[in-house]
Amino acid sequence: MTPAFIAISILGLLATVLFVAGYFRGASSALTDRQQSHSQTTIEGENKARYVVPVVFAVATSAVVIALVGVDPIFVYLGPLLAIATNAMIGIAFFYDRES
Amino acid sequence: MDKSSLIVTPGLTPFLGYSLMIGMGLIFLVLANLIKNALVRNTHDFIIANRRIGLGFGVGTVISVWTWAMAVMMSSAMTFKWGLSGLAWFVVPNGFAIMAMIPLARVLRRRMPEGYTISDFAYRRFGRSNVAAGVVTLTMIFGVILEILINLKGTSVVMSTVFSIDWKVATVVTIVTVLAYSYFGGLWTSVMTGTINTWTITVPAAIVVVAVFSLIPGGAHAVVGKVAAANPAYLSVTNPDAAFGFGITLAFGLLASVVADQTFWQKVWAIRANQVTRTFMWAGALFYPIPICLGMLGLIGIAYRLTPADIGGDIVAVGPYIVSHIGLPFVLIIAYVLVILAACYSTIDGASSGLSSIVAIDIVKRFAPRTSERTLFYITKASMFVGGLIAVAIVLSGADFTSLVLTTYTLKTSILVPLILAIVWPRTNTIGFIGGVVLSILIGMPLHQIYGELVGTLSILAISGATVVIAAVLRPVRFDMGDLTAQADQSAVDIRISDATSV
Repeated sequence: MTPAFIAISILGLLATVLFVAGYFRGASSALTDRQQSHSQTTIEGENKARYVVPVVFAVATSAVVIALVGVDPIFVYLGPLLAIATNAMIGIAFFYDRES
Repeated sequence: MDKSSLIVTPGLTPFLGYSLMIGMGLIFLVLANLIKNALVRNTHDFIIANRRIGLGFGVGTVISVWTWAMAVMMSSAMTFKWGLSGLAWFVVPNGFAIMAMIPLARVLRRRMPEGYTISDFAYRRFGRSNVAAGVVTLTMIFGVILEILINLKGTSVVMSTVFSIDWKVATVVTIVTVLAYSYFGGLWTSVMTGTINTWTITVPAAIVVVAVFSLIPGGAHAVVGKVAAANPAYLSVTNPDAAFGFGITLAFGLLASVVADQTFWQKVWAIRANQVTRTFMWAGALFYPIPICLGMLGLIGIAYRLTPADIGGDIVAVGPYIVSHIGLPFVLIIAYVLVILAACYSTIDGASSGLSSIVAIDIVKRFAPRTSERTLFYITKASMFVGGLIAVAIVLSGADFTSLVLTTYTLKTSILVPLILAIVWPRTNTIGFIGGVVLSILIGMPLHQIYGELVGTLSILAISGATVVIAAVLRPVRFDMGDLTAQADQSAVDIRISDATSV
């Protein structure tokens, strides 16, 4: 086992814990929500989140991450690392969820 | 790095393959039953999840639905064929396509807060035109079925490469497994199992890819060195061959694949209104690492100087071939198979759920509005089986995987510009919309056949867009987007699915 493999396994485990915690929170919220909401769906507030700058940043970052592999082989491991981060961020999304 | 050292790992029996496929389905079946009892009471819950999906499940399900066998296997295949340029042209438009939904979703969620399907939008937008709605409905149904069959094909490629399972049997087992659990909870099941699948697609994939590099003497440095020796252009992201070879066509096709897909519109109306923008933004950005991570396997294929013939003739098998032949521990090979199965299952159940909403709203409720809630509920469920059966029949006919994907994208491209203009440009009229779609197919498809993907795709986009604009100039009318909301109120009686009746 190489240090990279050990590191990614540990990070994967930590991200999984976060994901599972978030998933249970999301599932229990959905159940609670269902029990409280028997009426027709109401129109909620619009989502006013700004998105242009984050979208441009995400697109540019993805291209840079791929290009970096051609600059130094160590960046081969950046993709797997970010995949773990994706999983962690989904876990965080359950906690970040807000009603308004 | 000698490709003769790549030997299939022993013990990968067909029995193990079937156990993984069915076992994963059984777990989801138990979960689906729990979801059905807790969250699904009527067709409204089944097809739109009571519009209560939050950010976490929203992001998880959008990523899982968008992570096709395409993203998992073709990222490796495109890297294998074109180097980093192939990966870049495959990955960058993929995440962007999801985020491109944001402005369109914001408009329609605001104007049609009680919407269900994009065909229903076309129906209201174009003066209750059954032709306009029919064009969109047909495109959506066609797209959903192709989505299912492409992923069935993906599963069959992996299971036949890794476990030597007959690909036809793998296809049938997959559809039966997915539909068995999708049948119960509809969109809620798709969302909750899809989010679990997103975990399967990310963490095990990352661990497997790093493990593969760890097994190669010299690791990433050795692999990248061999790739540079094979062709330095493989390590550049600016190779124009990849752009003209498939990148530009794929970029438009991916955009069409999201915008002209009910699977995503269903999410737009099912996610809580205040989380729609955030969900698609997060999902697009967080999707990126998945194909980037798995694309690294393509570099190993180059380093080992594999040829398509070495891996069974189809380059999409390069990832599964490397994982099953490089000497990984058994458990990691199984983890990789679960990555593929998760990607395929979540896309198929998402597409089936999308199909159920089309059948309920755009067919049954429109043409037989007096259909009882109970009958509607069962018709909605049955439509998922019909869609699956059609997809299986086509897959078993033995079409080529890559050609199939590109053909799907090309067809969906015909509706892309007219649909976007219908949402954002009030001067788009019915004749322009229908004419744009029909003419672009009639003229663009032959051009596609004669001059290839790039000319064909650009022609379809140009013809469809120009037709809409010319029709708007010749017959100037201005649609008040506020009418969508008014129509929603008026049609609430005949289109709204009762939320009061439990089934």
